[in-house]
Amino acid sequence: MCLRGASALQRVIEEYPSDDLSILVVWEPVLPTDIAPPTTATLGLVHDPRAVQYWDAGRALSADIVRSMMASPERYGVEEQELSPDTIVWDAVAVFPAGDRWERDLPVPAFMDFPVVEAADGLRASLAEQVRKGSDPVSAPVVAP
Amino acid sequence: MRRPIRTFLLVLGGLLLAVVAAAGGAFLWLRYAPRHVPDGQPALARLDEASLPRFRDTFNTGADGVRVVALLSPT
Repeated sequence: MCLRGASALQRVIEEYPSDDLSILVVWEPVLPTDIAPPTTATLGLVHDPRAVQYWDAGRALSADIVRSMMASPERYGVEEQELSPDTIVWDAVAVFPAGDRWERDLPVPAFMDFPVVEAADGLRASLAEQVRKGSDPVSAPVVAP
Repeated sequence: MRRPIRTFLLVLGGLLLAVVAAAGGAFLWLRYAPRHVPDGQPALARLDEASLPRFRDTFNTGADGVRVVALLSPT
């Protein structure tokens, strides 16, 4: 499912050739067969040159995201009882608007869904909206002189 | 009667050997296969608790634009 998700992700991002889009792909072991980092063939599923790929053997990012969400579930629109420290965030994709920064806690995504292969339409719609906002001078942030 | 049992055991043994060899081959492939990212991308980076701040820095470096973050399992 995840490999199909990676292919779906590649198909969506190549529809948005803007340099103002960056993609962070984090591979993590979840299934019993995930005994090593992704092979060249798997890494090649996301071949966009704007992508940066990671191997997260200890699922540190997932744990960090869960920590952020458990600290303030209402901020992320999730139910508190849906989360526990053992929750694993995987086969998931999120879109973050221009301007948002990741300090201690995860910024609130404009879009987040799973599994990735079924989230492709939502991802496409969110990217369309966010990329349009970024290139629209009316909605661009105004900088004081 | 003895011969069919012996043949059955030989075939069963052969099949078991084939399954073990296939599983071993798959394990070795998963464990030691090459791991190169596509051209144009930075090398595959290891991420752990200690390097999370660097990951956040990379995320924030792209703050002028839209960021997509995906978490996937490799098999």
